[in-house]
Amino acid sequence: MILTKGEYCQFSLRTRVQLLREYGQLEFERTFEHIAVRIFALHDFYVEVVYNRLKGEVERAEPVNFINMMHLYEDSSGL
Amino acid sequence: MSKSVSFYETINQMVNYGLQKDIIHLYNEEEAFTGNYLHLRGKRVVNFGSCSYLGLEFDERLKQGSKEAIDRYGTQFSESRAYVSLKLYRDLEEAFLEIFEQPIVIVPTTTLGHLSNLPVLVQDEDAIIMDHQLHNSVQSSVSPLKARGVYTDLIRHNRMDQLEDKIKSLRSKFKKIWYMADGVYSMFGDNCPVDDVYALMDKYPELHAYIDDAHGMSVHGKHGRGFVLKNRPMHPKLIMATSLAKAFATGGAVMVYPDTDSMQRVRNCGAPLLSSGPMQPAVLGAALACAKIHLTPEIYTLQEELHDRIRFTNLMLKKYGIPTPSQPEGGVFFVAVSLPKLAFNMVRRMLDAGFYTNIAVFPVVPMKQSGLRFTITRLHTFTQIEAFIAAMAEELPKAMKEESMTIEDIYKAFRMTAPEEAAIDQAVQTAIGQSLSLRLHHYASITEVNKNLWDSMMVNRGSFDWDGMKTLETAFTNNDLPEDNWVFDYVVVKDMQGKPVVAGFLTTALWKDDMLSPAAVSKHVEGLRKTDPYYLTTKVTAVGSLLTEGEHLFIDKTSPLWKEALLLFIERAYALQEAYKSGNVVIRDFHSIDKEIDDLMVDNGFVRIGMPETSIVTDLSWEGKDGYYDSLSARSRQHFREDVRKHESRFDVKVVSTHPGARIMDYWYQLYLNVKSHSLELNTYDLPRKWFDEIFDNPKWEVLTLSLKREHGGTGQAVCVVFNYNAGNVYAPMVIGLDYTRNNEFKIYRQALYQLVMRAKELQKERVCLGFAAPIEKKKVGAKQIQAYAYIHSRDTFNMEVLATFKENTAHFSRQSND
Repeated sequence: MILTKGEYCQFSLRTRVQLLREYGQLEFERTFEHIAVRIFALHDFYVEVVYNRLKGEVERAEPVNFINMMHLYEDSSGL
Repeated sequence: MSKSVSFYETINQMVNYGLQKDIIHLYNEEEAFTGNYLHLRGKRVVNFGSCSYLGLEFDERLKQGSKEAIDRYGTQFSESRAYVSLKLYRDLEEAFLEIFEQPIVIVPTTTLGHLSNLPVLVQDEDAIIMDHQLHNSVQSSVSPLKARGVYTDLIRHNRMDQLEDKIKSLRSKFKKIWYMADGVYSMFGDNCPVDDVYALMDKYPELHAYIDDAHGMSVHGKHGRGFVLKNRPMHPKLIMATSLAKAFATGGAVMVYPDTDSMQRVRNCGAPLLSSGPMQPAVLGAALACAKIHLTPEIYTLQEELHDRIRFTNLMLKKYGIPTPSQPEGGVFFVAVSLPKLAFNMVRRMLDAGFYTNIAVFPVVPMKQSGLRFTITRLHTFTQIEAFIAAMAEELPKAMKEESMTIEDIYKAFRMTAPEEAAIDQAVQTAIGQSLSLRLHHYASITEVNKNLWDSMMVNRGSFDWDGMKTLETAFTNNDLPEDNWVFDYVVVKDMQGKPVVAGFLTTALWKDDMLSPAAVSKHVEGLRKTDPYYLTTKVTAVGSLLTEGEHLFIDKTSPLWKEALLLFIERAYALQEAYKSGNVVIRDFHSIDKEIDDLMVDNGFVRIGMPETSIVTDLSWEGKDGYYDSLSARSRQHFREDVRKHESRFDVKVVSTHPGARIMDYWYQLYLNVKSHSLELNTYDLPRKWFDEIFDNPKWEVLTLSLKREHGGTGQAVCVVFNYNAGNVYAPMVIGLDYTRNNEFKIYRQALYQLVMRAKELQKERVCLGFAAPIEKKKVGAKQIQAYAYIHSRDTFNMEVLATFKENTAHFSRQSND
């Protein structure tokens, strides 16, 4: 499935999550208290999904430049 | 055969073809289903044909609503709504009042709603203008109004400029002008320009709108009230009809009115509404449950989920390079494939690949704008949508190859700009011609064609042997008027041995679209042509010409390659249509229906139409006048005695084969115009005067003249002239001129027909081709009537539909003339 970041952003939050379910590949996952953050690879970009465990809902799913934030996942003491 | 019979035969043929391919009239074979899969032909396929866009048919609340209603009210409540309705009806009406914030009437089906609305709302003094692509359910409901004399007309799809022009021309003659359209069009999925319609209603007090928003309901707008009312209020001159049998997922329909008075009149007087059964408890229960969902914010979540799938579908269609004529905002999509054979091929391939989609072929779309109509619902996953589109992208090139078509053919048929790669594709010649070693020869003039070869195929068919064509070319080129200038093309497809398999000539000329319409229609159209001389005329590329008759197309059916050769011929005809920008291609005439040819023509985008009967005298084996008399039927003998033999001695009959001089020719031309002005049944342009001079350069033309002897009031001038072609074993009278002032007294026309038969006998011919028109008169001189057929491909059926509308307006025209 070929989709650009811009095209992905045109969809509603619910659909962005659904697209990740259907096409995304989970790359990383970290949990910070009640917030779970997952990084999915989708076509040629990454999407960061923020899940609020207390509310039981996805708060956001946004394309990210993963290279710039990789350190957050490599160094757990960073958070 | 009437044209309508032929029309239904063509539809029947199309449907039967689909049945043979096992792609229509299918049954879902599963005992139960709850998702978007169907079980067809022993295979589980993803359903891309459902109009339940929000997927609410599986919603537990709707199911429960149905069950509870049945438990409380039984399976049906069998009383006319004129007397008693279930309370559920009132509850539902209140819910819809809240949804639309306008007066409404609930009806069992949208069609029933139209049938209830239109006779009550549209008055005899009103006019109706329909969009060319208006849904059939509204068009069918307009038909009964035409019998009342309500004037109807068509405009091209979504052409608001044409609508405004019509309003301007009709507003002084009619009390109200109703514009009828769909909110979302059910085939191409595009929308009505509602803002423009509103603006016109504001500008012109006479304009009212009737819009069927069946495919917009639930999908768009506040409370899911549809596309038309999305982001805009109800216009005080708008009537809206919408369906509950699509995204609303329950069945039934709602009619929405601008005021209580209109609503109440339909409720009180809409006969089909009063006499048909009501919606039953199960449907009412589900509808009420669904209406409640529409009145909560949940409807917007559902809409959003659907719209994201629609957006995704548009993106995927673009990324996979699928040809589409529109970019829908709703759930209906259309993939362009052009010819029906490719559409059938693709639907079968998609079924094999695991996807069900609707075929869209004539008459729901024009012949060469066939396609795959598919729908997107909220139940589709994104992977299903992408897999479906990817399968189309994979199968389309294979199907095109199988049907010898290119992507450029598709873009051309839909008048869309082809991507660059398609143009390269077109440069490759068709596989058929190459692989089967057929060779197509194309000439621009008969002088380039070998005379012996042409005559060996055409000499006994009519007036279009080599010499006949030469005369025709000279007469119909270099003239002043557009209608008198024809373009000639000659196509001969030969096999490897150089033997012709299919051959014929084509002329491209301006035709009157009402040529074969009833005389009353032509009379009306001719009135309109006084201000717009080329109104309802179309440039046509046709096998044969407007001045030749007979089986123009040579087909050697003993050749094993005749079908492929015919396909090459058709392909060239289509290419000429493109080159000359012709509206129609016509392949004529056929004197019987050959099933193989018939299938091939329909498969390749043609509709068979019945031509007027042609009359041919086939028995010239009798000897002498007595022998001729004996060959006639008893009834014809009586006519012969009373109308022909009685007057025979009163005429001088001559055969003229040299030009008679300008003065006499002017007079003959006037005789011809006399006949022409009486012949609206076959409404063509007048022949140019030049043709009458040119024929004398060809010794095969001769003129039979009939003059009354002086003792019977004759002046020496002809009272009848017939221009005949004499070639091979055929005698072909082509043009007649008549002095009608003496016709009743001396039965001149009948005498002329008789004299033509005698002349053919004298020339030892085997047949006299008396042509179209006056079949009864011609039967009396021994002619047999042969039903002729032609195959027509219209790039666009708009003009034909306008004519059909005029035909149905007969009651209005009669009323006008009575006034």
